[in-house]
Amino acid sequence: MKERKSPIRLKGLIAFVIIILVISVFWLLVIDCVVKREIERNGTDAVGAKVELKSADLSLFPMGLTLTGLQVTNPESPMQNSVEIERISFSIDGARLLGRKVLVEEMEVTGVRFNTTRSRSGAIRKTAATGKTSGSEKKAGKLPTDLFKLPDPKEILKGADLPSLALVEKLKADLNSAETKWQEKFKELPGKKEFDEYKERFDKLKATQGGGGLEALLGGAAGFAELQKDIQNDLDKIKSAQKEIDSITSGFKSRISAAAKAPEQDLKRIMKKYTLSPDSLSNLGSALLGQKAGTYIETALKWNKRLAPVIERVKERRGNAEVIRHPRKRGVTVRFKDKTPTPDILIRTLNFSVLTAQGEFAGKVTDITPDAEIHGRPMRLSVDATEVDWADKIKIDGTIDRTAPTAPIDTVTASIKGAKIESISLSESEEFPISINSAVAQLKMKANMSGEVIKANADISLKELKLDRGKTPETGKEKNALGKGLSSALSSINELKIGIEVSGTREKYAVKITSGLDSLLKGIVENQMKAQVATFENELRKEIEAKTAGPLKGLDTSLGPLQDISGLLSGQLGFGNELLKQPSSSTPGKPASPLPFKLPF
Amino acid sequence: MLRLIARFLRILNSEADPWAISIALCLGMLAGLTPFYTLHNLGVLLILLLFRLNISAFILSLILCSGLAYLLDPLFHYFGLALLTSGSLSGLWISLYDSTFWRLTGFNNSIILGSVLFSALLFAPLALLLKIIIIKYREHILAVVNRTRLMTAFKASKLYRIYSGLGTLRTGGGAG
Repeated sequence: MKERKSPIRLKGLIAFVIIILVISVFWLLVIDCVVKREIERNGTDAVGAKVELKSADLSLFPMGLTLTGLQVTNPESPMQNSVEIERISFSIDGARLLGRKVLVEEMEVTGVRFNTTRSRSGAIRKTAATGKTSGSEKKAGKLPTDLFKLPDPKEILKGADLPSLALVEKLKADLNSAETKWQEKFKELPGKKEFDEYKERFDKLKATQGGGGLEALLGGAAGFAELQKDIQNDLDKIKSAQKEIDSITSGFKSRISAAAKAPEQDLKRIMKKYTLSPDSLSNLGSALLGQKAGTYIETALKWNKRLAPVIERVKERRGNAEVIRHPRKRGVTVRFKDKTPTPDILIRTLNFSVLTAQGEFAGKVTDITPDAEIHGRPMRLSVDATEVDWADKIKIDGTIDRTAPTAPIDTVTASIKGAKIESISLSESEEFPISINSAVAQLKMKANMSGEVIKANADISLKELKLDRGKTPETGKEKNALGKGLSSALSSINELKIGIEVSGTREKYAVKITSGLDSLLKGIVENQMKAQVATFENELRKEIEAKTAGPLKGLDTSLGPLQDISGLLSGQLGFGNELLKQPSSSTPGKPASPLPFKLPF
Repeated sequence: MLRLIARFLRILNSEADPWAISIALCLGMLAGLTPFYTLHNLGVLLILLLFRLNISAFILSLILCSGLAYLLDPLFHYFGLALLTSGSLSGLWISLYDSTFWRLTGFNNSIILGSVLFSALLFAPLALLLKIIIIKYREHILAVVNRTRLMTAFKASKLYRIYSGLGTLRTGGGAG
């Protein structure tokens, strides 16, 4: 008989233990690479450009992670890193990790640098690395590129569609159409032939009236009445037609008059486009500084948007549960109410040190979590540095409050005293480059974003200021009197106050900048531009006149055919009226007929 | 793969316990249909190794069901999400959510819950059905199949040589 084997095999248990051990050892050997790859992969997906990490080191006892050499490419400029971090280290609460909660009490982030150069492009295939207009370019206060150089009027008008020409063409076409229409209509109206017939009928009636008795007399009266009615009908038709043609002619006269003035309107429009208005002159300084301010605002908004996945997750409430969406094929995680609610991820304190070209400063961020509504405390950023190389005092306080997800509020206040500024470009316009050579700056700034609504203001005071009016790229010298005037004016400025106000929504905001540069630049530019503008206007007028003279020629006499028709109608009206006034009887002493015709009795 | 199929056929055609084969196939289905790196699959592995179950059947089923899982994932997701967000079950989920062990199982993920429950519901009936099929196959079909032309052709194939080779190896070279 065959021996029945036990259903349990102890060797299997040993094999299981061995398999677990092998997996654990393998995991320990490869986990650093896995962590590195996952950070790079998820980071690249989130940023839209390469995120690279030099190394990751996961330790189990105590559980923690150290990342070194993190580079986050700027998606808009793939040869630059938005941020580069030398080292990130933190320990994780292992017990909580078993419950799928990541709690980091303290994270150290050192050697943070912004906008560093990359050795190779960090673009990924799906993003268009170049040729993309950035938001800052789109929204920043823009200085006209050819601010002090008026273009050649011939070049402006070359291929340009002048509205005056279109107006004249349309007018001519309408005139032709009206002329054709009225010539046709005139043919349909009662004319000389009809009135000759009426005259004939009248004569016949008159003749029969003379030789008949009472019967003939009464019959003649009825004939006269009928004839009178027919003539009156035709006269009404002619009167109505004449009224209509006179109204049309009057309309065309107005249009001809407007067409004659249209070239002047074109001139005004082009002048407005290519020359600076008094308003734009008075905001010249603002437009100049607006470029830089716009760039900073756009950068801040971009980072705010980029940080969104870190500070809040896409959640959807379904009854007592909260659904958190994951990428495809990973399903969704449903979160239920904890007995003691705690966020899934929480970094209590993050200490960081930032390296800038001017020196180093440190700060901290507290309560970083994508589950702020559970944590109940907003994320706070604070920098309070008093002994830095490049400023006397830096104080920045920021709050990103997502404790009420439907009413997010982000605020930041900054105060910088005694900041030494060197070589900052204010305007990179070829025509009007300006940079700050050196200055000591004071800044007070407050910004608030509630949902999509932004409100911010900043007061900047620059002392010991040395502005540099850059030289024209071709010659290295000032080309004209204007440039010389500007250089002289800018070199005399040693103090400047700038006020910036931003209001609106994230997508559509207005930046108002006030500075001492406005009145100074207006005076200089206005004087220097006056003569140039006058010459430009004269030349432009000549060019426009040359272009429009031909089409406008003969427009005055173009109403002739319509006026002729009106004249003919007047003639026929007169003829008809004369006919109505013809005496039907020359018998003296007879009472007058109630009809316009004089009856023969 | 050929060796695996041959091994499975040999077991199927042997006198091995039908339960051992059918349960191994069902365990393979459970591991295959559910996300691989999950805690419950450690339990599946322990059961497979500790009990005298057919490993070839398990691996074959695991491979087939892993492929099938790609097609069924959307279904598991909707099934799992419907259960997780069902008001009547919220008490159960909240109590499980408070337990570290259950959190480690990842039960609150829609695909994990959907696929595990789907496989678990299918497990017992499928095991029973497979056992019956194996018995019926051995009783009625095996002899008929052996006589078919197809089987004659199969016996001349590489797969059959592997199949026969396994038997030779197991019996110590055939001669001994």
